[in-house]
Amino acid sequence: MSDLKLGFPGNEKNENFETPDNVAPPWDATTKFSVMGKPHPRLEAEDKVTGRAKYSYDIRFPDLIYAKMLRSPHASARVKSIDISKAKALPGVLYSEARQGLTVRYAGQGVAGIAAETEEILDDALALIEVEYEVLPCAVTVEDAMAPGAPQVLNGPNVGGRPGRGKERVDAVHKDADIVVEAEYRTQVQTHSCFETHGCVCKFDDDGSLTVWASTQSTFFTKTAIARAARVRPENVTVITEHMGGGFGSKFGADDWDRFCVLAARATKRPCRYLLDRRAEHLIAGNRPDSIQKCRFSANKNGTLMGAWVESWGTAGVGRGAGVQNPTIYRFRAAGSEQKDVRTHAGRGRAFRAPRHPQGVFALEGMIDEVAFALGMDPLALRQKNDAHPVRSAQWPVGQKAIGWRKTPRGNGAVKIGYGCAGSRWGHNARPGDAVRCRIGKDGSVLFANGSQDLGTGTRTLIAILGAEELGVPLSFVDVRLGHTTDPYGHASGGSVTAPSIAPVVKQAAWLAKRELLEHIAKKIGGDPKKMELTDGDVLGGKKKITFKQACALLPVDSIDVTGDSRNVFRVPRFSREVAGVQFARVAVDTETGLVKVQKIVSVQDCGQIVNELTVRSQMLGGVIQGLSYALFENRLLDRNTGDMVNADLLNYKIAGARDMPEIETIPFNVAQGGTTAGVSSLGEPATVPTAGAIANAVSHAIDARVRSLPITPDKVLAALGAL
Amino acid sequence: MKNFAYYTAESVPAAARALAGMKNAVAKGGGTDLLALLKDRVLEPDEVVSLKGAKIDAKVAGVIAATTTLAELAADPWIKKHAPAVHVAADEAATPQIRNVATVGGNLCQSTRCWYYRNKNFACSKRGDDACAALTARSQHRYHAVFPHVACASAHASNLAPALIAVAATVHCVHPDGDRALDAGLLYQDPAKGRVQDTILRPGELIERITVPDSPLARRSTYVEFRERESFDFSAVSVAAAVHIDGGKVIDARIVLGAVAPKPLRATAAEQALVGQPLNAATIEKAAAAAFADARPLSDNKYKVVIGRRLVMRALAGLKEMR
Repeated sequence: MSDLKLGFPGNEKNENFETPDNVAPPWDATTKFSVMGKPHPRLEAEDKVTGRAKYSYDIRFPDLIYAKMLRSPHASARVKSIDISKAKALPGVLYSEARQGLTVRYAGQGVAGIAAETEEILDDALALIEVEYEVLPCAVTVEDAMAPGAPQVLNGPNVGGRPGRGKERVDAVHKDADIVVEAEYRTQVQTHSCFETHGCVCKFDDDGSLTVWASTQSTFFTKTAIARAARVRPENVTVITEHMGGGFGSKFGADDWDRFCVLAARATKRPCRYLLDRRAEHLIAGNRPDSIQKCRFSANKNGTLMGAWVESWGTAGVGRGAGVQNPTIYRFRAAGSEQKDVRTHAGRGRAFRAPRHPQGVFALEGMIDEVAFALGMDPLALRQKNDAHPVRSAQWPVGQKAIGWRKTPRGNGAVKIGYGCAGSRWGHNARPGDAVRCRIGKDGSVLFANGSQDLGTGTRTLIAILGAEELGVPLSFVDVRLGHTTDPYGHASGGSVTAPSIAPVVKQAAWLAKRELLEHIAKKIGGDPKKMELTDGDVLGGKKKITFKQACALLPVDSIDVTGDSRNVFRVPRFSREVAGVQFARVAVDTETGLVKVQKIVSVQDCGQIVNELTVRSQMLGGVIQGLSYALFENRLLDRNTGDMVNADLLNYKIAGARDMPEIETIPFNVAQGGTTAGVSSLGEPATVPTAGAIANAVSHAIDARVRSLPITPDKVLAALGAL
Repeated sequence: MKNFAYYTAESVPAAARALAGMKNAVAKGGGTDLLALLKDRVLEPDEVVSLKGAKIDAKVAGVIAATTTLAELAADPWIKKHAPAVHVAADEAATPQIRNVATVGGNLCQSTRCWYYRNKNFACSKRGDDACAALTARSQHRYHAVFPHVACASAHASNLAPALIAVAATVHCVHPDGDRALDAGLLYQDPAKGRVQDTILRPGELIERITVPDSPLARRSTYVEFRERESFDFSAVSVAAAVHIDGGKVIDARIVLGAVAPKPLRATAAEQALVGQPLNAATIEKAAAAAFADARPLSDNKYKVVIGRRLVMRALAGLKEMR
């Protein structure tokens, strides 16, 4: 029996834990790390900045052909006829498909497809396809789809969703409360806008085996889906994702266009490439659903939160999934929600970095501020009084100090400066199922391999650091291979599961390889392998001290090759139930023009056991940047007559740029978390959750008027100020 | 994009002669706007004539060759001193990458950013359709004109045009049938059905040079713009203003509004409100109100009027401080 010390300075607790014989001993608050927790540049950093790194988008072959689909300009229509003969007659057109009789449910839906020798021929061929549509009425907005007599988007009613539970209880609590506050909040549709668009390159070999270079968050899901589409046995399909240009939840498998690509490759016996253009990326490759949230919150005069009820409506286009994560984070006497999921004639929503959370937190944290103002209380004090999380409770004062929190706004003249804050919660999403191979060569080489992909978060480097730490060798000794489905299984990168799930498995693989190495070496140099250790590249505890490289040279075999899996490494006590974070914003608002300039964001984020300080900060920065962009700029604008997107580009679909960036102070909060032998937590998603809420609260603080709709554009600020 | 033949012209007159002999040709400056229009098949020319390498004699101070890049213009010390409005407008445009390529002539002749014009899925009167998809109650028109012409709600995109008009620059045009010089304010025309081009230039007529006068009006000029995003955005409203003050009174004024109508708009009522008056808080406020008195904003863009008035006030207040 040994003690496990978990937590962070100022809040530590001991847990009894006995490590099973076949499991790497867990890391805890007492562990002295030599590689972990320091800032390490990505292993592929130089490849990426010099352009040497090859993304799926960059894969070319001399005999490559190109595929693309013709997309419906109408959101709701029946395809009466498609004449593809002129396109097929064009020299260089090699393959085509016409979806006669198709019912179109959203603008951008694929109606016909072409594969051709060059992208230029492809473009000309698409322009030659003649489609006759019967245009049908469409429902573009939530309000349209809920109106009496609205066109039915799919089979079944337009309005679905989860019925609310416990409203009677919340109503009863409201009755007992001193004050009740009501307000309606709205959020917009945000598209993922991945830098590398969706798609793949498919290549069949002479033996019928298929290789797919995919831009995907799940090489293994893609493998299964492509195999099914191409009617190839899954074992004959290899998916490769060497580098990824962003997914944010929108790239979990093979899509319509990937299927067309693989069928074109099979029919023509030529490698075929189909990566979406920017317009299609906006229209059909996923989005964060919008929301209308009617909130009713209550509290007592002493600052105790009482009841919270949220009724929400939102649309994920022709899909489902338009709920909001609300109300949560704070302790309410009673809380609940009723969420209506409304179908419209628009591209399908997909998981988007912390699905449901940023939109929910925007409304929740706005309401908390509104309650605080109604009570005449400092909004930060109200939060602290009603927050029970051990980590978040410690984070509020840290953020308060870093931002220089003020109860009253500043500013003279037209520009007012305000302060706001918001919190977040997320799960410790460590999931069993990953496996990692570790190979130590006689030549001293170390390779860790897993078949999943590096989403862009730094997984490759994370694996190297974990492996080097457990093996006891410098980071420079370690190589990592990721993104080849010929290697052991790895999860889809979603739900921020990647780091917490793979970390204990890497550790286990390294530990197994190390034990095997030491047993071999003990026989060569003498000593008890159980008492020998590898530290900083040296083998210690044997009859004589040798280096790791010398030890490898003594191996009686070519290599040690072991696979670590997730058995037994997840049965470790945990420090806290949820991942906690807080963010603070300071903004300057020009009250004459309504322009909001974010001056500073402080992000204090529970990171569990930090593996790489540099990529942890990078994730936190990215979360703030994407959250700021969501708060102020991004907005999918559909023409309300036809349902086509009017800003399907990167000029009028506005994403925050370099000059829109504030000072961002990242304060990673290292918590010896336990839960697995590595104690690593989820980070990618929680890091973006509170940003929009914090900015919105700061804007409202600055102008002494509330903006309850995202994005916070100048017209909305002027309207809140009564200037429109 | 549709295939086309590509020519490079050695001079602007040579380009004008070549264009006169072509039926479906366009001229290209830097190509930053044209390329997008070609890719979206909004324009499908058979010939593209590039002016990028055309030699233009423009060594005299205040003379700007049409092929000057925005970056070169922004770096011109004479312009900075004698026409600050033009300097600022060039310096604030687009991004460093675009400023390094885009030309002055191309900036003046660029197409509107109207998303209905640029998307052939929609009806557009400029492209020859009977309707304008921007002019319905349910259209998306937050960046459109607040002074729409009956047939067209597009907003003019150039930020350089208001500045050049405000400083009373002259545009020198070349055509095989005869060259002409005109006030920059006369370059643009009201839109009409099927007329993609916003300028009065005849087919084959090209801008060769622009001259900025050395005048008290141009020296006391300024340009302010409002855009939602600081990094790479077109302005939602812009104002170029210039005044000549003598004896404590405004004796000449030019106030030009950008991005509020299908063409750059001289705010003549606002100019008249200033002439003969001292430039002070009261006259500035009166001019700002006059500038937008006739505005008829659409349901999504009322904010442009509020901000536009404020920009006029800020521009004039800036001129008041200027010596």
